[in-house]
Amino acid sequence: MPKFLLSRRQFALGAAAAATTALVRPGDLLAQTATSTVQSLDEKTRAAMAKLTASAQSEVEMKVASIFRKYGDRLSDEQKADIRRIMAESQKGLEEMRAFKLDNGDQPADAFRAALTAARPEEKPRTPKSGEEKK
Amino acid sequence: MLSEDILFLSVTELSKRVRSRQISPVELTESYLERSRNLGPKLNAYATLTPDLALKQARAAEKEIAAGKYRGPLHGIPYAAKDLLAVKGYPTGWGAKPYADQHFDDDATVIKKLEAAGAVLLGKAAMIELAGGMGYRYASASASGPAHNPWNTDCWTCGSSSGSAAITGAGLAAFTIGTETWGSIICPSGFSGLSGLRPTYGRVSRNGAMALSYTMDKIGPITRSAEDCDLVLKVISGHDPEDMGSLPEASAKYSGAPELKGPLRVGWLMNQWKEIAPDVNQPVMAAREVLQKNPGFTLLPNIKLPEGPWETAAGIIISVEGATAFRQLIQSGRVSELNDPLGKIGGYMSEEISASDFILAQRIRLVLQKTMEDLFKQVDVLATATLPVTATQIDANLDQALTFADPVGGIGNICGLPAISVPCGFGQRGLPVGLQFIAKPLDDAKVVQAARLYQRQTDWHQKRPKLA
Repeated sequence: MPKFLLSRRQFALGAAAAATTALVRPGDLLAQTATSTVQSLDEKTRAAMAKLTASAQSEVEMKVASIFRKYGDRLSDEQKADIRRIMAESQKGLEEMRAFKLDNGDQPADAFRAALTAARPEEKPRTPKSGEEKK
Repeated sequence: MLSEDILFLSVTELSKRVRSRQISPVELTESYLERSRNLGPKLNAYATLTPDLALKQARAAEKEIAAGKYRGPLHGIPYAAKDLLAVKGYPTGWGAKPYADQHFDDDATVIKKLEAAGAVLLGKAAMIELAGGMGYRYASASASGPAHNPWNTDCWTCGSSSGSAAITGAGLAAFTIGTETWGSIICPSGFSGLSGLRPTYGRVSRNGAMALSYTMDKIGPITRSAEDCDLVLKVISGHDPEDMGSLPEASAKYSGAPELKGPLRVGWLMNQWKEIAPDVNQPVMAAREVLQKNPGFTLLPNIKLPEGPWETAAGIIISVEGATAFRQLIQSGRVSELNDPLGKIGGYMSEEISASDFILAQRIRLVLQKTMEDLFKQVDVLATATLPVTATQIDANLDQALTFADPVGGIGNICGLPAISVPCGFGQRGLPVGLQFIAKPLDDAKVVQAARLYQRQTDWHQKRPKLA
């Protein structure tokens, strides 16, 4: 099954850390809510945030704020809490990926090719449609 | 109507009988259609049946075969295709409510190739909405409802080719077509006791197929044997200028797996699963012993996958490409019409992944490709359990039920490697256990050879579920 975002399985593995509130400021990410589902999600968010550096926490907060700014009016409190949790839990994997050592010359796998015909050598020349000028 | 004994035959067997006119394609089609009408709804196996088309194709096949115009092993053989492949005249709903009434004016290339080979389309197989592209937590993430596993209907078939596995597994068609971006052929085949082949990326055209991840989507068969996978891949492979990911014809065209001339070097993976359920480990270890004792295999017991952020890179690529493919659905807010709670919000998060992280993932991808190329100098195929657990409960929260890392799934899909899953026994509650083989790009024949040799020594692929 396709994985969501960074890896659903990594999310699950990463969610077991002890809960803490130390690094989350009131009024930032975690709004006070009444439902136990939201509270439970928020606890997981706090646990994940506690394992991140300050800059990584800021990045999570920025991204969550961006989502809420664009789409917040469509989202329930529970969906917002779920988004905060997932974004916080997926940040660790992102940091690990960014730490992977690459050299300047390591190119991306989806390299651009200037000539489409070189990329698709089997393609036959296009037959002009009737009325179309031959080049 | 034909008996279950016939309907559960492999394509290889059925085609012999169709060719020799012991079995009529029309009778075979009518029998599968009746079984599909009876059992399909109980399993949530189909999105749509196409009986008019099926009978028209079956009658044409029967007439041609009677006239001595035999097209090949799929002539007159009924199959079903995942509902993300366009079929003219029928809805192609991508498993998702927002697309329930979607129609296309042309058939997908794979459908055209199968039609040209004389195969008979019985219907469109149910699937996880958008092939799981927006994320999902429950088997119910499908417009057709959760697909029930024919071996134990309290359990799921796995996704996203969930209906394809239910159909082949329950004997509702001779074979099905599935797709995989990450695990969507291998997992349903493993959970449902089937032989499923994920071809090398670029070998099978995606023209007319729903796009989730432009650089990771693959199309392949879900069947009852490795031999059947071989037959189907021969038909559906080949270059297509309409698909930018399509390989040149000389590479894309699969000519089949010849008989082995020497032993296959099988690298038994030591670090794929951190934990494996005891009821899975026992049959997998028994399968390993079969490989070890067979002179057709040279087992290399201590092969390790490279360690790195491969799963994260793969996840980023799928998420970003999926967010682009479904940009309109996400931004319009119609993702809220999806069934799954994660599907309703996943796209919003995927949009936040930076371009820099996406390119980084693509750079890591190329490093990994080179690393795997080196690994495949030591071995012809890698082998491991398809999954460390048996099928999950139909209502399980998958974030809790499938919490294991899957490095070979991430590596195999990010590098476009071919893989096959074949059944190798049963765990608790009568649920199948799978064994998978993985090879380097374009060595699809080697995974077929390995699986076929294993199936010549075992009969797990010939077992069938008891369905009322």
